[in-house]
Amino acid sequence: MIENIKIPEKWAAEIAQNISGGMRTNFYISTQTLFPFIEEGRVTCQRFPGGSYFFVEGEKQIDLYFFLEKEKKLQRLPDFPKPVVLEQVAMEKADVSPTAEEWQAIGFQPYLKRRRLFLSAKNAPVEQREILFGNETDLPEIIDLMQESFEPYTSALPDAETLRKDLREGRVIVAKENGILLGFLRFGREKKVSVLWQIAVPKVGQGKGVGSALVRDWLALERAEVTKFQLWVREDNPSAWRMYEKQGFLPDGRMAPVMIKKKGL
Amino acid sequence: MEALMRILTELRPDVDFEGNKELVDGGELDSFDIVSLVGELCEEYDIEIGADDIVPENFNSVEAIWNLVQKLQED
Repeated sequence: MIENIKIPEKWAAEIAQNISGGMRTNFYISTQTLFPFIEEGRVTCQRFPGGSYFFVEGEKQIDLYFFLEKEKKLQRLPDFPKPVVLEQVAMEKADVSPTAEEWQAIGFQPYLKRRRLFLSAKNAPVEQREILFGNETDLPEIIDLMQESFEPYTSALPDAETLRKDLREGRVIVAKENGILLGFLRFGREKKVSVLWQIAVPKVGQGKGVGSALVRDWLALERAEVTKFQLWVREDNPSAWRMYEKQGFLPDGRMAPVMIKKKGL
Repeated sequence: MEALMRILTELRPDVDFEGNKELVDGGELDSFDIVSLVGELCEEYDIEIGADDIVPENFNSVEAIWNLVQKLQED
């Protein structure tokens, strides 16, 4: 039975209890982040013996968070009108649990896998760079480029208002030639870590070193203010991997396989 | 305390815990670490950590984590 989650504090207490009990989970976000979604009626729950699923409805997909006791089995999900997406962060050396096979048995398919890379700020190159920030007139073009460049479900793409704010506040670096957008990089801070959220270079800018230049701009801009730089890169994007490695980025052992259950499976 | 250090270094062998007072605020421990750590601490010390206690201040240093464990053991 699907229940609506209505009381955020009660829900936060249940989650803390699940985590304290050592249940397996992919719930690595703060409950505070999800409180507004509860108020909007977007969080539902399905409880079953030994576990529970929490569903957060987004525009294009439903994000699944699970809690599952050791030795317990996954249960089938109810049908949803949108794809259900499961992101399961884990340490590379440890086994992901439940395994991909267990998720596949209830209708999920492997979708993609990301690994996290980092660079200590003290190891970032010291250089003076002329940085070009995006402005609000770039907004439509950046939105189009984001939609063309990233998969729609787990890329953490900002909505127009968030992007507008980032453009105003200097968190979007761009590359241009004769006024034509050759690429952009959007970043943000998580505590004292600078996080690359999105970087994209359209066809017209490819093969010109635009991506590397944007990353170097980001490092030069943030170096003095943070302890490290961090980003997630898709495993099936070897050219991006090489580019980050050349700048000194290393994997930190975190990986995040994503599984998807399409409608009707 | 010894068990706590073992849990921490197994969880994040790359982090220097000694004297670090900003483990969470400095970005060394993230939410994935905290969730793993809470489960381990509860099992090791037979405690339950409530939602109100899962806050950065309680995980910013080894001492803060140890104080939390002791407080919950006394409860």
